[in-house]
Amino acid sequence: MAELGRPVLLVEDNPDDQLLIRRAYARARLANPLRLVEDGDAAVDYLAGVGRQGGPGANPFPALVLLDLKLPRRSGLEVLAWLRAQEAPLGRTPAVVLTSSREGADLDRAYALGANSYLVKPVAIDDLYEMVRTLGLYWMVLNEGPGG
Amino acid sequence: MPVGWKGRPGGLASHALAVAAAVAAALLRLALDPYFGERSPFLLFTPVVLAAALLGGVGPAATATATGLVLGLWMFVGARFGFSPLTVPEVTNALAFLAVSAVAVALARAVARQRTRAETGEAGEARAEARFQALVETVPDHAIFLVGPDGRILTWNTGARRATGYAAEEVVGRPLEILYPADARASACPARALDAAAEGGHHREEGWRRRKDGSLFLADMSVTALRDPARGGLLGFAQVVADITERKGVEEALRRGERLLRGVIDGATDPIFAKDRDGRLILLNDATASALGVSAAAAVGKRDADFLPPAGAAAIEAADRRVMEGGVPLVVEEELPTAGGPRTYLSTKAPLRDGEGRVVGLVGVARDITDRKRAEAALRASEAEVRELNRTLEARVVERTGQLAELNAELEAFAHTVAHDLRAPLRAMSGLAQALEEDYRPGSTLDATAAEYLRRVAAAARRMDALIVDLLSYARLGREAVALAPLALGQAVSDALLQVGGEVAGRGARIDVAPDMPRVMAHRAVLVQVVANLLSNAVKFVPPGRVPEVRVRAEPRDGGCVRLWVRDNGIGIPPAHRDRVFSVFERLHGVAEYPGTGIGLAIVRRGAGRMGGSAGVEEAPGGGSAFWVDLREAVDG
Repeated sequence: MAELGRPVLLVEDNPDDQLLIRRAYARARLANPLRLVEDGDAAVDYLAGVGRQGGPGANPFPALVLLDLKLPRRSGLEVLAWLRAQEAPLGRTPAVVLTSSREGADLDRAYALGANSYLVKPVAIDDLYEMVRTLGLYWMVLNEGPGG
Repeated sequence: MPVGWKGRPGGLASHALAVAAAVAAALLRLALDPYFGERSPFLLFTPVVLAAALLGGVGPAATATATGLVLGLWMFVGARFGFSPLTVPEVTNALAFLAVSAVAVALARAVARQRTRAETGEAGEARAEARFQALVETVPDHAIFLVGPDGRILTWNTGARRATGYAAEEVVGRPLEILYPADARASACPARALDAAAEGGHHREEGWRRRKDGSLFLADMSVTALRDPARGGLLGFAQVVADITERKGVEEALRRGERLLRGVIDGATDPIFAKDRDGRLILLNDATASALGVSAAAAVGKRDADFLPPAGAAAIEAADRRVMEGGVPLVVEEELPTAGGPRTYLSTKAPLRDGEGRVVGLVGVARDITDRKRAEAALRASEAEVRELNRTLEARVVERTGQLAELNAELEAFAHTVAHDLRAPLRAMSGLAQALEEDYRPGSTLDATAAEYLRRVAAAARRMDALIVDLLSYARLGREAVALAPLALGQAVSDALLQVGGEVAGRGARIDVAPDMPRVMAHRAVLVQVVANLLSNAVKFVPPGRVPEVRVRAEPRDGGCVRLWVRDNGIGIPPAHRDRVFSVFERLHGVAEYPGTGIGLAIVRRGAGRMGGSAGVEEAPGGGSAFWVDLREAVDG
């Protein structure tokens, strides 16, 4: 079971999606805090700051990265590639692609780069709530993370 | 010759007769002495001398003169019957007698010579004629005979007998017409020929003659008119006739052969010719003449150099020499300059040999291949052009492929954008409308109408999202590579059922799937998508109040195919619309009646096509539609 204090890092640039995901996350009553960054560079910055012991800029180790693919500056796939290039345990952080695209090419590339899961954002708000709830249950309650 | 004067002229009897005549003349003078007296003692001897000279010649004439002189002097000069000295007048008389006698002798000699000459002439003529007759007689191959002025045959030789079959006694004295056939006789041919000869001295003709047995022969006849050399009167005709039937036959055969040869070579459109060893034309047809630009008659005996520029003639002569010296045929391309530009000939030349096999020239046939050469050249040019086009085509294909790839990439980026950016606002509309409805429940601040509007906003957004999703699926089917692999049809149907499970359950539909479905060649995701669309379609188009019943079956087809049937008990599709329903955005019903994007069946058809199959619809037994998809049966068994 993941540590309760570890955040879920949401990389999402669209404010509407941010709002709806936050709402669903809140309604799902997940214990882990939701940490939001709005572009690929910011995501890499956050992840690069993880584990800097004692420093004021030290970021908490994320329990899960929720990654949109289409992002400003650096795409979700680039962030994923960067993440998987890092040493363990950071490099093994579960990463779930949460995107609008159902394109086969996107799917292939995401899995090839080491995505743990690939979810298409639902249109219906109920479905989104259900997805986020299940996500939290699975990755933060049921799944045993890589540790570290 | 006088009858009473027998014996040879100049003989002894002649002399005796001359003496006797002189004595008789003396006695007659004596009897007439009273009348003459002393005058003319020699008068009566002169006729005796003259007669002796004419009848007996010089000898008797001399005898008569001498006797007359002696008797005259003895009997009538001076004393009768005695000699006395002569007076001057008496001497003159004697000399006159002698002179007259000399003249008589000379006259007699001339007459005798003349007579002798005439006699020997007649004999020679007769001998010559005999020799000529013998000669004529022995000529075996020519009929030679004389014809009288009246047209009757006078003589006949062996050649005439052999030629006509008539013996001499059968024709001599008979008219020339018996040698002519009836029609020639009727047209007076024989007479005309003789008239022509009589007029011009000579006449020659060829014509048919008739033999004794009635058969005909072709005669070469020559007629010469014979005329009296002194007076010019027509004596008759000499005819020489040769039987040339056989010669004519040979000539005719030769001419026929010649005509045949000419007919053959002049009938040919290709130039045909023969040359002697010096390269002179000995035979040529019209085509050769026109190729050389001359008349055939003018070209005989000429060389190529007489017609052609030196270079061209030299090339042709070199080829000719190879044929004649090598003794073997040769096929060679030759070029002839003509008024209309150079023409190319393909000439076949073969040595021409005489009876002993010696090469005496050559024969040739030439075919004008100018047009063929031009066509070949044009073909080569167009081939080169095609090759060039092919070469550039590759470049163009590469270029186009590049453009297409670029376009495809753009399209992909476009699809990507649509997938991400177009759907995001829809999610916001839908999500926020729902959130509003949930968070501000009716009865609190939102009334029923507001709540209804919010539901409609959310539904519209969801519908648009479904449209985008379907469109992207459809586009993806056309764009992405579809790799086929053997897979279980039953498994794909199960997967599809899971996808549409919510919809099926929502409509309370019953789906009956046959067990033991075969394996097919397909792409898993595409096949599942195809089947899911068919199932969704089957449960959707059902009249209100009827429970949807769907039967899924598979059956083998001809040609290694498997047909998957999805039959429903729905509203069915009129035959006229059965093809339209597979087009993108084709809808037969309003959205409110039967919701949908109008893309589902288009995805079915395109998906089946991408997997090498096809899709269609028929009327199901008992109403409803029976959709089918044909796929290739898996080859792995």
